[in-house]
Amino acid sequence: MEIIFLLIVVSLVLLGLIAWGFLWAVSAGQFEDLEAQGRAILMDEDEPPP
Amino acid sequence: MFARDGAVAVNQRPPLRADAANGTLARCYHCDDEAIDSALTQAAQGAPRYFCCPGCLAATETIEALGLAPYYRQREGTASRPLGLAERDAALALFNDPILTRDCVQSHDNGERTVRLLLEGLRCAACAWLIEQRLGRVEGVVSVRVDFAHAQAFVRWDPARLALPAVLDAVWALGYRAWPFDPLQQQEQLRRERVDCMRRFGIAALCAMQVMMVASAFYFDAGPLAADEQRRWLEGLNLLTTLPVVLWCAVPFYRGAWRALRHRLAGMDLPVSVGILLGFAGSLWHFLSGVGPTYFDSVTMFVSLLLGARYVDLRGQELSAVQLGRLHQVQPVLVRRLEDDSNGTQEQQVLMQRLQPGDRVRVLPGEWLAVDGVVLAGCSSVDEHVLTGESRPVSKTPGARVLQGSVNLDSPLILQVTAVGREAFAARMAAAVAEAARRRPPVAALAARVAVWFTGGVLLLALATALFYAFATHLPWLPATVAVLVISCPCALSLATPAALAAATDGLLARGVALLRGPALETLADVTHVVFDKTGTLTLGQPALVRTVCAATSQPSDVLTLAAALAAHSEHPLARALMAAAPEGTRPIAEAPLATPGAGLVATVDGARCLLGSRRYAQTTFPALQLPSAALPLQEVCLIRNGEWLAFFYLADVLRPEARAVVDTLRASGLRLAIFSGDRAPVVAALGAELGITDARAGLLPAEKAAAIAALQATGAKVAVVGEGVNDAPMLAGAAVSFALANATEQARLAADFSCMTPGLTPIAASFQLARRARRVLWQNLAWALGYNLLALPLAVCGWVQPWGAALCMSLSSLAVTINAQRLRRTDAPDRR
Repeated sequence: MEIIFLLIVVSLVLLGLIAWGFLWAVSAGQFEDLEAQGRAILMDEDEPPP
Repeated sequence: MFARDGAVAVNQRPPLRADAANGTLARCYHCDDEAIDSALTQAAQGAPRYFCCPGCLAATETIEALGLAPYYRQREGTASRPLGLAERDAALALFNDPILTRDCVQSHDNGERTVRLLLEGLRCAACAWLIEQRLGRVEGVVSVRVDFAHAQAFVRWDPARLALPAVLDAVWALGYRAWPFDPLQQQEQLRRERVDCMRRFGIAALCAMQVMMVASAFYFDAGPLAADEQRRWLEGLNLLTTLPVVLWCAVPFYRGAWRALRHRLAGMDLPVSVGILLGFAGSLWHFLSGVGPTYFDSVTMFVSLLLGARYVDLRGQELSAVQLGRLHQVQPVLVRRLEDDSNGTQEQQVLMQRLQPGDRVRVLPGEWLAVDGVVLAGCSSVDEHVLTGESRPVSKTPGARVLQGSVNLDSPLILQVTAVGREAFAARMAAAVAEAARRRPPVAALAARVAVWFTGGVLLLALATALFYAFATHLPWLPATVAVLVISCPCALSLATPAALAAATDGLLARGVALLRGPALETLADVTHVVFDKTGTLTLGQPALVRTVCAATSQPSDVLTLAAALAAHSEHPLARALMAAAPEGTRPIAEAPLATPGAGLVATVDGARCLLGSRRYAQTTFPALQLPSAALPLQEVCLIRNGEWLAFFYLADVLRPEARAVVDTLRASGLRLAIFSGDRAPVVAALGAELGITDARAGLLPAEKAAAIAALQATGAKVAVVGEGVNDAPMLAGAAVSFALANATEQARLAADFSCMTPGLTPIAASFQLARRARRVLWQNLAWALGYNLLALPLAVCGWVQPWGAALCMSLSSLAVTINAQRLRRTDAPDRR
């Protein structure tokens, strides 16, 4: 029975953390352009300027 | 004044011919055009690379020097050819004048500035990457973000180290074009709304998942877990996680419901709010009293699904607004201002924004009028059809008024400026648009009306249940009542309607129509009357060859080929119409052309002296010439070779080729049709007779058109208007539903609900059919959702359905509703009436 109090507290803390992370991501503009990150991976900039 | 496209020649290139059968044709490494000049070859590892022009060579060199070569491997389309250095300088130097970009550039406290650029020529994600990298490496640029979805770039730079033209030039040098632009207020507003909706949706979805996780344990509750105390604690947790959803996430629905109540309008938000609040209040009551089930899972899921649907809708609206915002890009428009000084009158090119009322400007033939004014000197005719609907050129003599947006056709005019910018005629039309929009009938969205009936039914059912339990049984009445409310309302309203509407919007887009105002789609299915503009809407809005009269010695196809050879040297609309009418194939070359603007031209073709132009011009050039009288009362062009007439061409503004089919389809589906035009009565009557439209009104001013629509709507008709010109804008704004065609002016687009992207009238007929299909699908979805609930409810109440079975049925029901809606996206299925 006691375990349920721990579970409730843990889930509320987790939920709060995830919600905070999500709100931060929205205000930081992480969702503004969902294609940019995908293409950035394909474009390797390893070639040094000659 | 330059052509409407702006001061800069567009880097047009002829379409590549597919006749490179020998396969040895060298292709430009950068733009894939034919590379003819062998001097522009770059030795590289492997094969040598060829280039079509120094601009492309420079672009490739820049890209490689910056280590951006992966662009060439990743791109999915070819690049455009960049303009040469001198051309770019000429075009971009104008941006040194801050008056041009004062609305687009934002200054920061530390002196840095931000500009929003609209990008042209983006083909794929690699292009966006290339531009972002290139700009990021320009000395003086602080930060860059390229938004591929909206084709925009946000650049922050330090003006002490870098001028705006240099920023633009970095993009132009690669073959793209970037224009500073001033986003519409509406677009910013929509962006804020969408971000806000995303926050609420994310939180609601998170909480819904948490609540569902706990609630699913109750679904499969087998006994031991049901120990009352544990259950109460877990339900308490659910109550806590539901609170932010009900108190914060769902607030937009409450606001909408309150607004609807205050204005006595039926809206979706009202039943939605009732559902949320009753479900929550009932669950809270059950929790506090310790009797009966709680529905926190249903409430949170309901809110998050609805917010998800709202998010998709807002994103679509924002994309449409961006499309509209493209019209607000800032391009330099130069005008020829006349200035008096000690040496007499000088002509100077200045930016349009620098003009003041009272200035004098000169407008050459073929140029677009950037101001309203009065003719001081010169006689010419101007094309005003986008402003007034008049299909024939209007002649202007000293003292006549001319309007911004018209095109000078014949000879130079000197104007005195009477109004510029916001004061000009086209801008003043915006006031008439706003006035007409105020008189627009209130939109009673179909989904909202259905929702009201639906909620009414559910509320009655709930009331009946409550009464039955209260008076006919000894059981508590609240649990069953809340069960009826919660189980029947959410699924239908949160999925059945938005899924159908979202799918229909996408289906419209696939048919080339952008929906700019959401509720219009539902109103479209109820339309009883369709009113068309004439010039540019039912007709092409530009002259086309109607008839050719040949001399006995010549063949029609030969004279057209010869006429096209001469017409190739002219920009006059009649010349372009002749070019379009000429048969494909090789044409003789007209040498040494000598043109008299607005009258005609003389050139040598195969050693013979030929003339193409007006009758008067022919008579003055060859006074001895004997010409027959005009065969038709239309615009006339004559062709003369070696002093003998070969042919007369008669041109007029003709019906769009698809107009008859579209009009017939609309009439067959039971719609009443009308034409409201600003053109002369005989032309409009003839066109009406040709299309079988009896209600054809002519000579209407823009405000009269809007008044006629209002009068029609006052009789109870639901009117859809189709138009394109500035003069149609008030009528478009005042109608219940309105379409702006692909060739529409900015004013018309801003006033309309639907903006066509596919040219012509075909998208109109398709939209009507799709709207009706959407309504059918909507009813099917609601019937299914309601029917399922009516069936499932009593079974569940009687305990005949196991919880896992109920969950499965619920999911299948939602799936069926969503899949049914997807049918609207299909474009291959024939649109039935």
